[in-house]
Amino acid sequence: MKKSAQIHSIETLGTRDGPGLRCVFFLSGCNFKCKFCQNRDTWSSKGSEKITLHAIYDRLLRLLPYLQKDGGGITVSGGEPSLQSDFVIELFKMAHGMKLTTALDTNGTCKPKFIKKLLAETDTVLLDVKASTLKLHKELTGGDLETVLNFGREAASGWVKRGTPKLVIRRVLLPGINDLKLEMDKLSEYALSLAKLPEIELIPYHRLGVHKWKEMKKKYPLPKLNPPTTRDWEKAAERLRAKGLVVYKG
Amino acid sequence: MSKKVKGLKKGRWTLRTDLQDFIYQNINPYEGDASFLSGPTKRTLALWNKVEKLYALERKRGGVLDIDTETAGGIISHGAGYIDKKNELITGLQTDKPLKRAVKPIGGVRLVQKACDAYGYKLSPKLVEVYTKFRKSHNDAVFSVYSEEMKKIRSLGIITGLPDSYARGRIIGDYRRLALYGLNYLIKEKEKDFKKIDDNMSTMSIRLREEVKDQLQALKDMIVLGKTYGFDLTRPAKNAKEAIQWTYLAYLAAAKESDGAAMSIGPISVFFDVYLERDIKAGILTEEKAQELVDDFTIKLRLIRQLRAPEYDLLFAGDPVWVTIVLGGMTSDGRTKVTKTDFRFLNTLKNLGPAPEPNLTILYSPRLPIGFKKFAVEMSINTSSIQYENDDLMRPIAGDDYGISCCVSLLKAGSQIQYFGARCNLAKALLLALNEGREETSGELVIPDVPKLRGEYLDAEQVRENFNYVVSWLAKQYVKTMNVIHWVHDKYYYEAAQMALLDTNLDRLMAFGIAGFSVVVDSLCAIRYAKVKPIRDKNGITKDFEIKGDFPCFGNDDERADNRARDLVISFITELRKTPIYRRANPTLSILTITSNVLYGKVTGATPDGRKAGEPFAPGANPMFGREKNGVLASLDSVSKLPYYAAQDGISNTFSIVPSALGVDKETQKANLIKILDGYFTRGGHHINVNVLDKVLLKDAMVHPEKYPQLTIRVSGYAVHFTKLSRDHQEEIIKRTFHEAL
Repeated sequence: MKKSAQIHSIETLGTRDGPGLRCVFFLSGCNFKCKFCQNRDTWSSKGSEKITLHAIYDRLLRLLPYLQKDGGGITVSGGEPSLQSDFVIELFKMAHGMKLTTALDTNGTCKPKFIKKLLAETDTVLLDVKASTLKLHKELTGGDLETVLNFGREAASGWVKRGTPKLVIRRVLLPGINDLKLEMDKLSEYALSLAKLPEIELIPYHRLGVHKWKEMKKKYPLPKLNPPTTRDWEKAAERLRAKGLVVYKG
Repeated sequence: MSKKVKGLKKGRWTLRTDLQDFIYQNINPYEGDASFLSGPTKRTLALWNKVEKLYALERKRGGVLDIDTETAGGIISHGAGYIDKKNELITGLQTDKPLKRAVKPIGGVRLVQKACDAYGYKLSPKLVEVYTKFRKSHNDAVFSVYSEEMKKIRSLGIITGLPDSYARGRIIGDYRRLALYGLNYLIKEKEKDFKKIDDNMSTMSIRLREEVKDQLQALKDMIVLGKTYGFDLTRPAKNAKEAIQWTYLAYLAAAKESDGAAMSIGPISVFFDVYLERDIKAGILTEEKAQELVDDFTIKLRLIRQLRAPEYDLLFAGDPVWVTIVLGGMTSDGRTKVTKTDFRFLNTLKNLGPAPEPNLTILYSPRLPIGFKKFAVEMSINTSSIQYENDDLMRPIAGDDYGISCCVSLLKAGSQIQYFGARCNLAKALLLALNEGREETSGELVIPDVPKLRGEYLDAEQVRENFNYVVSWLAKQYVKTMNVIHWVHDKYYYEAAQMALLDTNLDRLMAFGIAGFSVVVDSLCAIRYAKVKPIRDKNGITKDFEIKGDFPCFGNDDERADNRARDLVISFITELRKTPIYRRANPTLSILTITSNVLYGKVTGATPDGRKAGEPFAPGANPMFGREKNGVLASLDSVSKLPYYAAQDGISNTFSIVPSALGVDKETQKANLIKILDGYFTRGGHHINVNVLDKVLLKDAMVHPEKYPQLTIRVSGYAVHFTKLSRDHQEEIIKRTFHEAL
């Protein structure tokens, strides 16, 4: 039982990462190296703070009147939280004990032995599928697409005792890069292949995280990329909707 | 008095003055939504259009449209005044013309002269003569009594914003009494009260006898004021229009007589509603007409003005009068006090556009009907013109019939007043503790015998001992200063019109205040958890501080900082309780700065939390800018932990958020704002201002004020027109924590 984690920060008013109001925990450490990462400072867990379950409990207890309504709760993000799955499982158990819902914002890198336990405690899986073709995924994130997709399949598979978690597939839309027809086709193909139909959240790429790269004296790999226009977004969304998928803006 | 008003249920209120009972018997709680509301009528829009033109002219003339320099203001000082006589439903102005300001030299003739000069007018030489040769003003009297210490802590800005050169305000007459009972009854009752005053002719009984006679005169003057506008105020109001008109004239009498810093109007909405609903039921009023009356009344309140000297504007920016109206709330028997008229008042923000006055204050409880909550937050998101206060905290203290005075201060309606006491700059107090009792900008010795600190770094234990000593010394001086001001104010600048509409034997509060709250909390944390080295000048006065290491800050739901914050509030009120108070008033405490946090910061040296000399404080009980690392709820939670029982004059929190951080779309934003308010008030938070605004919009308004004449923003307990603020204040607001979570 893991009772502490390396944490980057806490955002107490999350309104975008699951239902209701959510307290979002950004854990430190990531195995991906996404070129468009908005939290560059969470990649390494070196020098990050340690937080205990006990400290989180105290904090959540005070915030219960805000979080308990309309299915609110906690979200774990990062970094990549599933790298600390043993802790997240305990945290989620605790949250459920407090009548809070749990959401996991993840790229699906979870040790196989933890997958079932983790999903059993997760109410919403926010699965980041940053690209749907092997090569582009590797190029953008440095990580393996199959691990991501496999986690989604597990989440949707329906064996979970508490009821299958809600699955949301997230895609940060990089115009001209991962919003093209082939990408959208592959994405919808995957979504439709799952045992439980996921929702799709298309998040317009933004540059608000660029300064963090600068502060860390790292070169931002996409210096010239602009956020998608409303039309870009609509076009991508339409491609998915045409296949019968539920799409919304993140 | 007439007890047979048709359609009103009788009760104890028919036997004696008891507004709470009247409301209990006759309230029409409303649990529906806003769909019944009416838009503005053509007449309303035409009238409002005239006022807007006057506003534009007022702005063009530097903030003051006109001054009557010849007549000293009083209940019957001026004849009737109108915006557009034929088209007004509710009538009455402070002078003979809208937005023309009266002078009140009795407060302080030199200040009135200064104010006139500032706007290019000249105060009548006759008035100057009267108030220098023949009649002492409040201001002169206070200064003739002050001790050397009092003058010093005042001029050095340690105890600051004192009502010694302007009227104290903060008293709320129960203006509804005039409408419910009429003046004949009220005069009879006061005459009875006079007879009951102990005739032992002690100082206090002599004073009270004189005061009640003044009150009687004020009531008689109100009869004349009524006649000026063609109304017989000796009898109770017969219908909704009269109820609103009578109540307004009672308020107007007060606003004509006194230029108090805050002239709030109390719980009138639920009262008006009784009459409005009765008339609608009787078929003599339609919803459209009811809204029209509320709109017209609101227009009148938006015209209330007082003449202020420029120094005053530095403290209280934006020309406020704090015509605070309370809406909503619950009764202790579990009913809601929300009525359709509460909706109608909120609807004025739609019909007439947003405005700072009247200061709409929602008495919030998570149990309020959902329809009302939804409409309130919709108005908040669209106009940023509403503040919320915790009804569940205040109701057990004040009962079911109470108002809010000024920004955030609880007052029982009809039976309680407060003696306004501005605030003590606790950041300066901390610096006195670090500098052997010398003030940090002048080097002047203020408090003798404060031990010198030893060691290169500040030692938490030594600092705490010194700080406690300083606070104890200051608290005593603070109470004594307040005793002087209010003794003199009662004698020289008595608010007869307001007092006449209150009980003769009053429950009195003396309201003290704290400024620089989060600066002190963070400073104490820095000294305790980091290493803080003072940089001293050649006289040994601290000029700056070097801080090594991290320390917890207020606003992060971190118990280390939040416990210190709690202690600070409790220890200050405990010190204040040690000194006897004028007229046996009970001390209360506020953590509220209004807009003076900018000025207080300006006159305060660097502090151990890393704040540089001259930088603004956070307003009220807000955490310091940029030190909140865990988002909105953590920040709110830190503030909601502050103990209300120790700061019953109010704990003000100003919350500004960009719409997108509240949620993706309007509906989610509304739902989330309700969740935030429910959570904050369940957690025991006392007050919150809600601004939902884009930074970009504010920046544009700084450059193009003419494009945003009605842009309203909430600042520490009241609302202001953004474009009326000084550049310093505007920048401070933009800098102030805008929560922009992604």
